[in-house]
Amino acid sequence: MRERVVVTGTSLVCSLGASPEEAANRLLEGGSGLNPCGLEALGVKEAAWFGEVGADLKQALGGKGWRNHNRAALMACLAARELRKESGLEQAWRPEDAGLVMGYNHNIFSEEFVETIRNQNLSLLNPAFFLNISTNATASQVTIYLKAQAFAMTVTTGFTAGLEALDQAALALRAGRARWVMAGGAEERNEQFRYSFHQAFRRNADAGQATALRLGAPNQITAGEGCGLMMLETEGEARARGARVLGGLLGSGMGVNPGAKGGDPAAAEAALRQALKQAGLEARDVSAVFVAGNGHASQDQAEAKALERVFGGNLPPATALKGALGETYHAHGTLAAVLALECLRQGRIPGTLNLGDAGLAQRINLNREARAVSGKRAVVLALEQDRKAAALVLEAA
Amino acid sequence: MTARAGRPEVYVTGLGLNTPLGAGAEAFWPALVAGTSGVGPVTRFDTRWLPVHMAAQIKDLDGLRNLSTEEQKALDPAARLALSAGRAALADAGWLGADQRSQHGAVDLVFGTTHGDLNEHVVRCKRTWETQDLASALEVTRDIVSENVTYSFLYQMAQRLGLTGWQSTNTNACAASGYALSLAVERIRQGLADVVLAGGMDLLAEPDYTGFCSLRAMAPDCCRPFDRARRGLIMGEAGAALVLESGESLRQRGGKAYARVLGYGWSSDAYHLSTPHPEGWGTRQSVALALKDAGLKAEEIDGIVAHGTGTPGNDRTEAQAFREVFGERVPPVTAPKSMIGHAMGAASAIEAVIGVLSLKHQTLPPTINHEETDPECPVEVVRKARSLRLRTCLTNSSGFGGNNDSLVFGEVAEAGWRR
Repeated sequence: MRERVVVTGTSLVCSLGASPEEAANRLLEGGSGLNPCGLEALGVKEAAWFGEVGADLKQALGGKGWRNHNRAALMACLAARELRKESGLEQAWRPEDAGLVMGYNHNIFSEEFVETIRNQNLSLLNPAFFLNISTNATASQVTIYLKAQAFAMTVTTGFTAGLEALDQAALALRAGRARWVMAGGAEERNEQFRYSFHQAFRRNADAGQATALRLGAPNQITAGEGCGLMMLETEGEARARGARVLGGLLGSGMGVNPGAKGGDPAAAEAALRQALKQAGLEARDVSAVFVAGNGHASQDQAEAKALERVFGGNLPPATALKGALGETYHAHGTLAAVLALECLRQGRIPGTLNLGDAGLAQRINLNREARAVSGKRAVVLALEQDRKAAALVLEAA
Repeated sequence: MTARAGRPEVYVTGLGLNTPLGAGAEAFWPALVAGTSGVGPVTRFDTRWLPVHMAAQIKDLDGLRNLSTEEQKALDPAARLALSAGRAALADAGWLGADQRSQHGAVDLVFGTTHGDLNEHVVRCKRTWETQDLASALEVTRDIVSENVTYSFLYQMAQRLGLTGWQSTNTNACAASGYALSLAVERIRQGLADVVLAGGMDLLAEPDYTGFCSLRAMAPDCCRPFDRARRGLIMGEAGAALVLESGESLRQRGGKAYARVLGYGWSSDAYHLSTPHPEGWGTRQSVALALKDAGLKAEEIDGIVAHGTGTPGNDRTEAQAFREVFGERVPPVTAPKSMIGHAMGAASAIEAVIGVLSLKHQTLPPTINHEETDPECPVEVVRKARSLRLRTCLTNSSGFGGNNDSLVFGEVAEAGWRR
């Protein structure tokens, strides 16, 4: 029998706020974190939309000592500090008992690095900068900041990484590798990336509005950034220390269909079925679905088909957070899981902003407005295009 | 060396590798035991502007023997390197069909890498930055979002090998593939998988080479692990894959294995992004935890394949950690990076392969370029290939950010299962 893994704390930093409650409340009120971001210096005349974290991260972390940290590390350190506090572990913290699993994308696309190589001038490269673009630098900075010494792992698998991080944390907990594992994902978006992304998906700006989710429309993805973390423990450990349990991870699934193209739902369907099976649940037991929906036409179609196949006539209310947060990539899965837990606690799920195709939205029970849900179980989905999907079934306490 | 109660045993049933000393164990092992150096001048990119010029490169990257012509043309170098190693490992384990795909569709797949193939990515970044045109931006965006250099090679592998099971990429710097192997072990132990293809892949890349130059971490001539005159690391590249399999799967199909994975240990220095903990705390912890996981006492380890990068800091703290765990009787230590360079994210996988082959051949390969042991590295370094009774072998790895991973391999106990 698998030992149950529970959530004893959550935290986040995103374009809608710096706490799960604040961000969830803004979502439930219909708020959006997407705003035009300035790319004029790079020759972009039209508005380019982006889900930017507005907080002064260095200030929030105490001002000094953060000069060389990348932006994702700043978000992750801030979220981890709050997470430890929320989990009631500040006093009990023992470094060798604490682990970390972080979904994160590397940030090699940077002017400093490119300039160094282009000009063949090593003096242009700050060694500290090189260290901070290492893929595992963000996780490492968190371990250094909070002293987490059991282990640190970085998962760099794209859109599914945040959910994979939660799953790998559960694996490590069941193996007895730590008493507490901070798990989640972080993603930053520097100017070069925003420029590149905007150019690739510039139609979103031509439309003159944030169009993170336009089901069935041409690809109109808007980027975002943020960090979401959960404190995970085995139920036995949490009970023994008298921790406040926010919820539990009931099951996870992964579907892989590596050659898939053009709206193939097989990976998403497999992930959903596996997660439900591992949770020991039927489709009708799920209260809400937090879909991946990022506005990529064929991906949204694939996800819709998978949901229809798995849930049939029992499709619960669904929501797509990227309409308000943007595509936060490696951070998405955990941000969605953190917000799902908070929304379930409040008994409501947010509406979906910028819905483009009402017909498709109706098929998978997406709504423009926030609404009440009964029950405490949600499915969170993440899609790595059509070729891979991860699903998580979680339950609020 | 008995099985831990109630826990599935994990066996190594297949090996695949591409290294600067050749492809496949049959080419690699004799060269390694002979003390062959795979180090030479960098030919992959221009180093004339940099202070050092040496690396260990794979010589036949464009002609990997077990790939089709179409695969050689269609895939980028990172995918070719990983696919070739993975396919060879599946073939070696007896899981590859005549169609060059896995006969076991539910094989899990997990690889470690630092950055994947950055060379082409940097070329595109440079072009984008210079031209700021849409086509270049699209290429870079595809690199980052769609065909991400750190994991797209895994899809290419999965597609070509017909794998649809669980898969993931670990990017724990130079300990990445050790973590990938550990995750594979744990998935088998927890009953989530029967067979896992696990390993590591990294290519010699201009950005990393430049970065290590900026850190002044590279030796100008050769890698001298644990030597008084060591001056730094030599970068390398490799693709290495191991098929890990549950005892039950092995028993059912009547397969044979090279070794058992007896245990693994993890730790995080939580100290500095590049400097190891000054007292070697992290390595000591990961080694101690690996022994505990294996249910072994320190004196039951017969040989060590060290991380041994040849940098002053790593070798000193690693040796000190060994002394703390093993006391005066540290088992013989070998450091293959002296011959094959530091393959970054692939390093721990290739060193796991070396540990497994050491058990098979009852021989520890040499540490070349080692003349005089640094008194600050008080371990017995194997300078010439040594035949000895090896029942167990520890492999150890560390990465930037203080990520440490140790693995313990043991002989296959069942005589009929041994290969």
